[in-house]
Amino acid sequence: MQETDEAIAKKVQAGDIHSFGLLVERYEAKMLRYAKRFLFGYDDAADLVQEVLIKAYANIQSFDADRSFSSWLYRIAHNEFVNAIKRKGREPLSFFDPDTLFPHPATESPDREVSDNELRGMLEDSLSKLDPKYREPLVLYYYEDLDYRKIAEILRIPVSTVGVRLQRGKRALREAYNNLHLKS
Amino acid sequence: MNNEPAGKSIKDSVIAAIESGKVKMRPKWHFVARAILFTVGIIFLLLTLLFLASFIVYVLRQNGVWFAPAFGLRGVGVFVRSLPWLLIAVAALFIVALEALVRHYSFGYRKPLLYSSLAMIFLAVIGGIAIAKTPLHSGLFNQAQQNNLPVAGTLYRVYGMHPEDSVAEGIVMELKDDGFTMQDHLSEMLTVQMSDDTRFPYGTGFMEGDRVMVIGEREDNVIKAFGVRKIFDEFPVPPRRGRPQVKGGQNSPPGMQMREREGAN
Repeated sequence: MQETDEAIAKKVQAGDIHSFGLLVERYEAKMLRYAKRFLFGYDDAADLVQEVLIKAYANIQSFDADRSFSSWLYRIAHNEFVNAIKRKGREPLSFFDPDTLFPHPATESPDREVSDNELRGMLEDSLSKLDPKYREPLVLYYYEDLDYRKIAEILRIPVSTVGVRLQRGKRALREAYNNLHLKS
Repeated sequence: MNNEPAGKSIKDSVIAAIESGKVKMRPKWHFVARAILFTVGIIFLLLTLLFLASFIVYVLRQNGVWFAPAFGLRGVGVFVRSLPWLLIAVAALFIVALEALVRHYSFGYRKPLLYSSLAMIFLAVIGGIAIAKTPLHSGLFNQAQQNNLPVAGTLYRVYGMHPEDSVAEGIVMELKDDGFTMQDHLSEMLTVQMSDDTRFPYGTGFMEGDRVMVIGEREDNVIKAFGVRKIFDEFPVPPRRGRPQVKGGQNSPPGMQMREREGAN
């Protein structure tokens, strides 16, 4: 049986440096995919992922092995990628998000599979046109296959806000897609 | 960062950086110390917020403004006008800072900002009222009056000793045909004039020794009362200088002191 991420992380915390290689192996491709989808037009995605993994190692003692390692690592990646966006200053990132202010009804999409097929095409074509605030939850949901709860933990926002961002993101995606195809 | 030879994977680069000692694992105590600092910061902000909130309640109570809304719309207007807005703004800043710290924890960021902010405001108001009922502020106010309170003394002197002009709170000293004289918390003697237009939301029947709150137009030491009400609550007040010594001691409610004296006679 394959060892869990959390069990491996515990070994690393105890000083087994080489076990960290296993975690890197498991997450390298995922992190690269996340970086490339979220950070459109940034040619240093590999460098950023390397930085994420190095930071994960440096801070591994702060990881609570009773919680999900994947969420913890994605959180580090989120911070690193958002900082990269801020550094480059190409896209607007607001300090305060009003979506986190009010409660929203939880709306996890029941037709994920149905909408997947339609949305995949739009995602491929128009994801780069979206505000990073909406692009990121779409990437985490559709490409990384994470559920609302995990996305909420990574972005540190209420679960209901994840639903709102996904809904608005999908709407914006549709608009961007239609604009693109109407023009062409 | 990724300056390794072409073809070398991210994994190889990361492991090489770790093995060469370029990257070091931060020790556990580093994170424990950070968590302690965060907790201390939250506790400090929370206690300061509670102190400020209770001070605001105490000042409002001390000046009588707290009871002004009982006089209807005009009372509400006086209440809003007399609120110590600077202190409220400072308290709001503390709530924002507290919110920023609390949102580092899952119990903070899992809830919408509105809920956690309302919870903090509720905590500040309820905690403020509860602390204002203890002798904390009246004791500190006494020390401030005697210039024995170095830092917070100014706060008490600025806010505690300058009551709102249209509001006064004090002890009825002598009943007259058209009103009464009263001694306020700064031991000033005020003459309260009542008329047919004066409102009494909690009835009349004032007695010497009653604690009352008066709202009206003040000229020097004369107040033309728009409304007068008795105060029944048990907020502690600092002892008034020059107040007549009566049976029942300082801790008995002032109304009781006068009635006890009358009963003894």
